[in-house]
Amino acid sequence: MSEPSTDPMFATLRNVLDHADPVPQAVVEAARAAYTWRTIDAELAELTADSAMATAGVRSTSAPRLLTFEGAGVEVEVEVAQTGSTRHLSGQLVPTGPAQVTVRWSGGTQETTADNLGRFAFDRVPAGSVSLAILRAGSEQPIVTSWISI
Amino acid sequence: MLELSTSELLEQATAGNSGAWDEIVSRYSGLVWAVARGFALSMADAADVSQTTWLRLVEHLGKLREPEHLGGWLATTARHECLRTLRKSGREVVAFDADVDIESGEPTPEAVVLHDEQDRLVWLSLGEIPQRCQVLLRALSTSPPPSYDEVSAALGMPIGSIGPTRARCLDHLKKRLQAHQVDTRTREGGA
Repeated sequence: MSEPSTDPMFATLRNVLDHADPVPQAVVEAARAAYTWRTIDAELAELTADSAMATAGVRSTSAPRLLTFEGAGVEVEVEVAQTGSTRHLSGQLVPTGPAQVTVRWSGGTQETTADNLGRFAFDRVPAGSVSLAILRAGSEQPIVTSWISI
Repeated sequence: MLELSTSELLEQATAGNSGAWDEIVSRYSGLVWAVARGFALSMADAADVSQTTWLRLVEHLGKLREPEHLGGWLATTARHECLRTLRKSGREVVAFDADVDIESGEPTPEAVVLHDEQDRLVWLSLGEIPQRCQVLLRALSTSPPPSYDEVSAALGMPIGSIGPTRARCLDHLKKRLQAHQVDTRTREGGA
């Protein structure tokens, strides 16, 4: 297999991209800072369904987006509604039951409690990458969901 | 930091060494950015995809099945996140596998920083070639140079197809350049 960069066009492309579209410094700094979100003791609930990935054409973009995360014996369903640059999240924990729920994003966190039916909601969450951290009543094992752009 | 393998860097980052994490970021942030921008995401969306990709890696520290294929894992994660972003905004990757040029090569603000006319035309032409060619050529142009394994992950395409696709994509780019009245032969000395 030939080396990727043997064609002289790649030297030109590299030069052009370096000038016209370098990785913004803020993006690199945010990537470095991502490390501070490391949670050592939490179990991960991974994204298993996303209505945005449903077959195109049968879905309206104005309808709320549905996300499902599963892992650590829990299922977290989240409905994401869009209002401008903020998001409203309504969630449901299965199995049901009360919990401390925290939504985390690069610039901060917001905390709430899930009721006895496992329902919770967050208002005015900024668009961007978010993750939920959940601590169920009577449990000492925190659960975090996969990060996702909303 | 001396040249550590990605597996070693991952091991150290997992153990709490933030310097190892920074090194992983400098090694792969260009590839992740190339994928996001290759899918024609806006600067803001590309920044979100990049951040989600890195946060995904943070949550998977110590859990990657093949730590030596970290670059491929990042490229795959970024590609999936791009498709998610495009779909949720109601856009689609129009026939990602199609071998047809994109006619909507709109001049972008970035071109302003290119004072050299021919560089500007290369930039313009890059935006007009098939979408998967944009991802491929951007990925191959990143530094440090990616492995074919990583490029294959960025495109979701078998490794064996990368060589022939790369040749076709270079042809697309050169044809667009010629269409813009640039004699590609004069460019071989580099800029």
